[in-house]
Amino acid sequence: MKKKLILIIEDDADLVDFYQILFGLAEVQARIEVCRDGRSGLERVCAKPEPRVILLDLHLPEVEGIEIFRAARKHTKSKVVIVTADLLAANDLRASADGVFVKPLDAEKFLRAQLELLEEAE
Amino acid sequence: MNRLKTFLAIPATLDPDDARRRKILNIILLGFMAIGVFVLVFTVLPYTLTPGSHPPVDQDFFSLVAGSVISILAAGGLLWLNRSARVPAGLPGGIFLAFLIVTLSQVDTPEQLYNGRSLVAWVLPIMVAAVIFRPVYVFLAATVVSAMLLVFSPPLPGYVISVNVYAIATLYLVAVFSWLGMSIADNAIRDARREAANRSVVLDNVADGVFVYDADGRILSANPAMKKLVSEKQLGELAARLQGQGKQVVVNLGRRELAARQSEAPGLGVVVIARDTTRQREVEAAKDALLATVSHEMRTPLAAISGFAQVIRMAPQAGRAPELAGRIDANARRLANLVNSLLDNAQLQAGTFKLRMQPAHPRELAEEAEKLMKDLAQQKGLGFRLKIDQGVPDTVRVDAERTHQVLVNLIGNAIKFTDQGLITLHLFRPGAGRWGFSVADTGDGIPEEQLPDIFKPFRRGSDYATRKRQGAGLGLSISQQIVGMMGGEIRVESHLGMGSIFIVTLPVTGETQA
Repeated sequence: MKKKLILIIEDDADLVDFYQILFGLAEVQARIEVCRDGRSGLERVCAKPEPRVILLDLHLPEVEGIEIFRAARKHTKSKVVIVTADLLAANDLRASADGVFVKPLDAEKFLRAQLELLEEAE
Repeated sequence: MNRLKTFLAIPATLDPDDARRRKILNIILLGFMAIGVFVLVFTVLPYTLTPGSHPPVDQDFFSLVAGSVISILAAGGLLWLNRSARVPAGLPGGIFLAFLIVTLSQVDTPEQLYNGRSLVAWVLPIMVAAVIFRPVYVFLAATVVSAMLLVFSPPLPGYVISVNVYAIATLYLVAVFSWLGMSIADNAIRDARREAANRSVVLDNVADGVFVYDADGRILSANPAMKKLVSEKQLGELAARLQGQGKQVVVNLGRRELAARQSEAPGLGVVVIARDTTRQREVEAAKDALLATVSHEMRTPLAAISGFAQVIRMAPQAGRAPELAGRIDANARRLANLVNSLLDNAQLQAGTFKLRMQPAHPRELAEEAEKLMKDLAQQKGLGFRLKIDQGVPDTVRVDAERTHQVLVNLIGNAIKFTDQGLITLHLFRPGAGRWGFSVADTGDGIPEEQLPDIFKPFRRGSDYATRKRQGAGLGLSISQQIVGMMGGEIRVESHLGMGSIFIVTLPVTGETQA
């Protein structure tokens, strides 16, 4: 069986490492791809294969996360989880995103939510 | 007309009362002059129009012509005298009054002037004195006129002079009433002048710009602050843009922002009070930007610190690493909470704080808070009890996240300020259409003098345990404002040594307050 794909779009290298370590520790059965800026994130979202879950930061270089969010909604069936430090923007997306987390994260809660989404998406 | 106005102009440096009296004297002199011209014209006219059949050119004709010419010249001379600031205020009036009395003494026979049809003429100088001098001078005029009466009195046999007592008494009576009337008028004028002066002192010195425009958008007046605020051209533009707008208007003039408040003043126009809010707006925008940036830039590294600390705790590590990582995480979260509180506080103050009202279940809200806070209480050796009354509505309209924030804040405070005993979260129904919750502790209680300040930002009962407990002291202030915005109330009851209870009541339907 092909591994599920998690796409991380996050410009902060430390947080990317954190996600990878967290998923590794929890032995999440998924392949992880990373985009470090908005433009490559947008391109990746529109390409194949389609990620099961997209972890999306909102304030990104070059292209804002909200544009990537709209593109993902338009072109994919991916679950989109917003992870941002911007409390206001986070509140605006609470109704439309599959999950919203404000940095700093509660690692356990975050992990649980991702596992649920990965299963749901099957 | 303008030339006449210039001729009649009186010195600007005068005391306003003197100026008024000089103006009145001008008017009287003009009238006097007009009578002279009238008499002259109608005396001379018959001789020029009908040269054949005119009355004889006798002494009457000459005295009429001479009298009117003298009157015209005298009035003209006095008008000229009245213009000069160097001439004492009362002098032209005094000369005129003397001239008037002399003239009157010539209009009839001495008998008639003393005791007959022309007696009434003597009232004239008294009334003139009342309007061109200070009111009290009417008595001087009455005395002079009475003296004139004595002069004209035909001596009775056996007496040096005879006195028409009734006439003199009447003249003094006229003087009394003239004095009374003019005194009242003078006082009224003085009061009005003082009030106007007070008003203009305020208007001249007030920091806000004030101006008045009429229905056509013309500027009627503007105070010095207004003139400093905008140019004359901009003022016209401002009035044009304010016309027909509401009471409170924010206008952008070029790069400036003005907050204007206008109100209709019947019979005057529209009064506008304007304030330059450019700087204020810039400062607010800068503050918001700073806060947003700081908030974002702090959260991102905090997320990494807290994240790695949590990962270390999860990892199968030996020794004290998990415990220490737990402490790193707790401190990172504390910092993150502070950032949240500062952001909330700034938004509440700026009025940009938004609620998302939606249906929620009080029981779920309470249980969620219990789940989150019970462990914290137990770690400190405190009991935690959740009590839900009968009749608490299943569903209410609130901002669930913000209500959760209030609950967590109140319970967190209770745990923070209690060293032993019990924390009780109680859901109740205070009355129709409302629901509520209270958080009670068995802590030290809050000293009475600190209760009024407890909801003020950064206060948290100042001296009381400030050094002992953590926190910026924003939680209660934020909680109170959130509860207020949701249409509810929060209050506190506390007794030293017995603990405190914070009571929140909210409307079931959740009507928000702007």
